[in-house]
Amino acid sequence: MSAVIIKSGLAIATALATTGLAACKTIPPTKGAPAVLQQASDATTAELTEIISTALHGVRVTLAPDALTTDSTIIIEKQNFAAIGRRMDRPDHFTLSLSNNKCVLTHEQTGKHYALKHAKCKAVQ
Amino acid sequence: MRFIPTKFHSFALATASLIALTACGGGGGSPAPTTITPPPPVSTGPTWTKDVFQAEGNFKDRCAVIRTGTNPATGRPYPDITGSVLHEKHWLRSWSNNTYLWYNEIDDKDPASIADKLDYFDVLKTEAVTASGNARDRFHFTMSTEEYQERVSSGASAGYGFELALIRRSPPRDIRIAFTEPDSPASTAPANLERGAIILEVDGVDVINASSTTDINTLNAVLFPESAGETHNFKVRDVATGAERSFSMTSAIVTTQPVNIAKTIDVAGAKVGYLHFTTFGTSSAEAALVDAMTGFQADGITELVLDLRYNGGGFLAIAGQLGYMIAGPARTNGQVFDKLVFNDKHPNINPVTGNALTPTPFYNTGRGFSVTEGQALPTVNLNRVFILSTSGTCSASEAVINGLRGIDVEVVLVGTTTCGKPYGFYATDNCGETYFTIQFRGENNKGFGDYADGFTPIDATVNSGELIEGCEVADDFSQVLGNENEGQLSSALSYIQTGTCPVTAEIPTTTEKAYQPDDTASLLSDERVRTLLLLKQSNILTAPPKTASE
Repeated sequence: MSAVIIKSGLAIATALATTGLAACKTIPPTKGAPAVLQQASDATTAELTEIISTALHGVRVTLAPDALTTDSTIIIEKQNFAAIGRRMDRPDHFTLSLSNNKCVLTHEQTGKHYALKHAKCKAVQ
Repeated sequence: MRFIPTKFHSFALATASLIALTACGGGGGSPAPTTITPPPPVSTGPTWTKDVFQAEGNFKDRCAVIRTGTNPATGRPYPDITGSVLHEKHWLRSWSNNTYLWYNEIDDKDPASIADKLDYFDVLKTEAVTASGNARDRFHFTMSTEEYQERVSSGASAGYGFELALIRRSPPRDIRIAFTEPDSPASTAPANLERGAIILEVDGVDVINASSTTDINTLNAVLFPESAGETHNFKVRDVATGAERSFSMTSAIVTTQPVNIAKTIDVAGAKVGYLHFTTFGTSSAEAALVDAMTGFQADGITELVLDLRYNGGGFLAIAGQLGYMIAGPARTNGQVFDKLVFNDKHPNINPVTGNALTPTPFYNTGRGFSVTEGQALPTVNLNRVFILSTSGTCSASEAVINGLRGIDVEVVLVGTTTCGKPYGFYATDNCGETYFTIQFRGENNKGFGDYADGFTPIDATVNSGELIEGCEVADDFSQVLGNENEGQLSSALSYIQTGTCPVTAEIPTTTEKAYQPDDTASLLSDERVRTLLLLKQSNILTAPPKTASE
């Protein structure tokens, strides 16, 4: 019984992934000119939080409300109180860019690009 | 602090969106973490023989409750396999015996004799005391790995944007505003809080005298909010007017500004830099220090007053950079800023990484926190620095004092005894709990690292700690930081002109050490708050490293 459930889960996941990939084949996100958010809001913070959390394998993420409004790069680190001990990792850097009139967030450590669906960007002069 | 089933709902919800995002992101997602309680192991588990230790690897990741899915720390599946609480306790025992700095001072107890693994961890430490009578190990604790792995954008966290000075945390309490972050709820209307303001009431609870558990819980919940958007009522007494006033304040996501003040003061024709630096613990500290030092360099300062009185530490690499930016290339080239020393089982090899032990230098270039790697750093090239201190001056802040003294830069300490934390550790996960046990101490270029009772100005009324040149001066809450009349800064400026400490009859006011045991009426009777304050006094070793060499 459990095997059947697992197969069903896989089928659903595969369908979702396939659908998503098909959409992305049309306009694959690529890194463009450095950009910042046109306007920060709870919605843009929520969207950025979800994407960054995904890029970092699902960890809980807290962003400043003005993140990416004045600088095209945001640094993500373990929260101060939790960063005790030896950190061998580099803080994660994410860069916002404008590519084909789309907002794209790039995780610099992996080179992966994430297209923002709702937030509006403007190129940094 | 442990996995709670209700948390898995949010992970499950996160999974659906994660799959869709992964499709557009080109990978990077993973199944949500879940836990599985395996059937009881068939065997009776490992057995204990006093003072005989198996390799820790024999017990690592053998868990009573195993996690599945992707470990955010590694991007790989969790390593957990079926085990038991007894396996976890045996791992703690063997791991401590291998890596704890004072492993030979642990009284070896049968893991089966203490049921709870965290209770067992609590006894895996030394009971020795320092010369002043403090417990030698005040830094032994755990937290859930899920909590430990949480990420924030550089320095952002929920709060009001004030730093509290807990002068007395048990009745009669004395809690004051030490400083505020710019543009935060604390520093803007209606709060408009300024340094020195005394907090009298929160949500109707008497901050000074309250003693019931319910009231203490309220104090902690209000003063140390867990999230943004919490609105609470405050009654304070302002220091400038002595007037009492009440207002509501709402917590927000506040971004720490590591450099709170950087300015140049003209003292009898000499240019003196004053730098209020609040933390080494966030990536933006690197760029903030470079900006401040570039300004000081342009101003041509000949003396520097470095205000570290509330700086609990952070990235040791940034501390090494600050050492270079103060002392310059001629004094630091090829010198050791901080060298790790593990227990005597590991004289040459780091037991955690397996790498050869190499010291942290005085870095003269950017390290990629927030300054481009390889970018040359500015320096004010001084042979003397004044450091303002309290018991909140901890860890990496103390490493700056020790590191500079190691290369014979004159350090004049103005203030009170620092916290005394020459130690550090690797946060180590096993089965969903992250453990912090002291594994090394730091030594300077001269091999000195014995300051477990802190650094103390040599004229102190109570001579505990490592006595160094300087003046004992109270933390003066009657003036804002950076004001030339503020007690500690005023004393440093006086010393610059006269070469001696100013005469003062005032008995120093010192904040209580954040990690010492407390009575039940203390704010630190709340484990969350105690851990929060303890962890602020951190020493983060290395950082961005491609050069993960230590």
